[in-house]
Amino acid sequence: MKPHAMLALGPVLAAPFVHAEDRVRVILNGALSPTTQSFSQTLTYTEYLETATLNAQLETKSTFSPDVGAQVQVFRKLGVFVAFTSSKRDEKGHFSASLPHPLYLDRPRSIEGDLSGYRYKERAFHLDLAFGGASGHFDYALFAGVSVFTVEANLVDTVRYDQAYPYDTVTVREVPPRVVKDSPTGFNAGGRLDYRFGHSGHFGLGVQLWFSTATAKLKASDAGTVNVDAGGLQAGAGARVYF
Amino acid sequence: MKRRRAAFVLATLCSSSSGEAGGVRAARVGATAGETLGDWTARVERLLAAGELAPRLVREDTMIAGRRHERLQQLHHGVPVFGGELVRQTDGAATLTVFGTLYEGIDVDVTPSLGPRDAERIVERRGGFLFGSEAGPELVVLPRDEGGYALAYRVRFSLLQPLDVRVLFIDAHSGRALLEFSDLKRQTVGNATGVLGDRKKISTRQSGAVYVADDKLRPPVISTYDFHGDVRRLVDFLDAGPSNLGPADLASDPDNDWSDGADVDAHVYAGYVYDYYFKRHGRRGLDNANIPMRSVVHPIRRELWTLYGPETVTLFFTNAFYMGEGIMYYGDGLPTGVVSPFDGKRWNYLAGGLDVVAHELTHGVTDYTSRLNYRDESGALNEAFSDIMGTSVEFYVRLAEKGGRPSNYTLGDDVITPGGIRSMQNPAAYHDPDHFSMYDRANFDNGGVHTNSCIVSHAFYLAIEGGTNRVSAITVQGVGAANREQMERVFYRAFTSALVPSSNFSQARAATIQAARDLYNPGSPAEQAVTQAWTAVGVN
Repeated sequence: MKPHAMLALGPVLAAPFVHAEDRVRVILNGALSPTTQSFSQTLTYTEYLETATLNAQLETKSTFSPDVGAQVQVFRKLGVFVAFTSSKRDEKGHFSASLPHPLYLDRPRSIEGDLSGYRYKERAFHLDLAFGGASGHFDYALFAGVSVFTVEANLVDTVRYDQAYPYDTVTVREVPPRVVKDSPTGFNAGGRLDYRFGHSGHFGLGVQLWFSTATAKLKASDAGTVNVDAGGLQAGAGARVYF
Repeated sequence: MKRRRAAFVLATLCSSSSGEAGGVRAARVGATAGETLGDWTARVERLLAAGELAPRLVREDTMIAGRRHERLQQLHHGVPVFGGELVRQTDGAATLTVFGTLYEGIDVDVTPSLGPRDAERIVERRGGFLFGSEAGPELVVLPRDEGGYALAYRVRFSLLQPLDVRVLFIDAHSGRALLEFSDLKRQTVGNATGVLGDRKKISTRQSGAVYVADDKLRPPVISTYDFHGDVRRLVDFLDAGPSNLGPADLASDPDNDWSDGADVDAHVYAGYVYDYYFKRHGRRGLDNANIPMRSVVHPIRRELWTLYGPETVTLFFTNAFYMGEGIMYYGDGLPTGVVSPFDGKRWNYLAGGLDVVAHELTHGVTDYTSRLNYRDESGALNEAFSDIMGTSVEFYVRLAEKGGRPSNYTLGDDVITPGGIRSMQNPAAYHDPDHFSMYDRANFDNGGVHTNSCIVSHAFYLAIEGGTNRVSAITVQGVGAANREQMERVFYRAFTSALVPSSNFSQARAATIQAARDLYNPGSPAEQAVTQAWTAVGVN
């Protein structure tokens, strides 16, 4: 998942009709993150003197979200690009569990089901070095740099169930989520192509392709770690403002 | 007042007869179809209306929905006839089968010369104590082995020297003993190959700073009491009866990691037996109404065995028995490495044998169903049913275990070495009969109930595994080990729903065949297997 909105200010110097004072460009994008993230979780804990095991496979859905950014020209075709991206996604998933029998050793009860109501949130701040150029009404930029993510995901906390004698089967009551966070640091790289309108060239439209990544290490309730790849590929398009 | 009843005329489809044994005419009924069933359906209704039969117990069928089993006690002028009982299976208004025994030609005045208190005094003079809720004295009509009938008081009492629980019939006029036999369903099982060492879960309850052997996960009260080898505590218990078991006697452990094997196995295996009956047969405990199941362990320290005589050792130490009222007693066996001078075997804690525990608890099931008299053929059926269910529980539990001990058809081999005490597969190897022609009419062990039972349990074995009987050379096509559940259900159904206190082997044959028809249809492999098996062991 990676719905990043981005804004890029293209490189400045070479564009023939770019005014010398247009050193800053603000970009508002709507970005689509077509790829989905999937991660698995294995949770173990002690119940009735034995190890209960719960396996979950979670997958985030693709999403569309706004992003914002700014690029400042600092020297010739080089600039500094900063951006903030944020996205929220639903998680869909499936779980299976092996639950010890209260009266017998080695006779686990097996259950499985779908997970619902799980959420995934991701925010990222990107600081890039940008290289750009222009041709007529078009300008472009290539950028790469550091990304600092804040990932807040729902993992499976436990499985709550009902049972009755002889306890050979159980009925799942709920599989509640547990909110876990991590702030990993990664990198990003991308490119942008913009079109500026009119002679003043203060406004424009553009498209952008961007990839960012970092590995979030989420602590599960059993102290185990679930690795989640934050970021991902995203494609955006939106408005440009130059000044 | 005296009254003479006309003899019943019987002609039933499967196995019914009107015979005379020792001068007593008994109608043994096995009506399952046709005109005979119709006759008996009408006859039962007439007897009920006349007050000569009275419902004693009514249970819904736990295997076939909609069916019901009624146990009808024979009465003579309102006085129960001991062993006279019919079991009627119904489906709605329709009567499907009638099994049982009715005594004929009863000519007894039912006005006693002695009162119940007189009967109690007779027991007290013998050093006995009335024991359990069915202690009596109960006024009954007793069919005499030597012929005729007598009005008698039936009492059940315990003795301390020697330890025993006995049933005594006292002539209600003269006060003399008419019939007496031990009602202690003992089994000389025990001992295994030392420490079993198997890990299992135990359901306990926290009480203050300790954990006690009180199962709260299963529907009935299942608790285990540890006398810590205190003989005086044991004597007090035997003196006062079941009500004397209190919370202070509960086996306990400080950290819920139990290491006393006898405590653990008595408690855990009682739960396993409950589970088996519930899951396999839909039965809720010994009485099908979740009667408490209580076990007594460590009654006497095994190291003290040298202080006692053979009778006490074989009863207190190398023995386990069902005491009635849902109470089990487990001896401690003999010290490790000691070979019993009485049988040449080593005896471990009796509670360590799953088939032993299941065997004894099944006596409780019998007590609440057929109440098979604990002597002669009915007594052998009583023992056989306990062996059959004991082995079935072992298979049921062990087949589901990963890496557990193998299950087999040998009784008590986990705790009695070498070789256990009986074999259902090969009774002859233990000098037990495997054919009715070898029936042992012993004058001990209540008529050889522990040895003649092997004829029946061998039939059960053949009906499952198949094979050729050693004596008759008849080959049985069993249902196969994968279908053992079929035979377990057939025998359970027959023994709990069709047999009566005085049933004999022939009636057991008819009842199991009928059960196979009920459960698996006429002509089914199950019916063929059980029919062949009985024929192979010479019971027709």
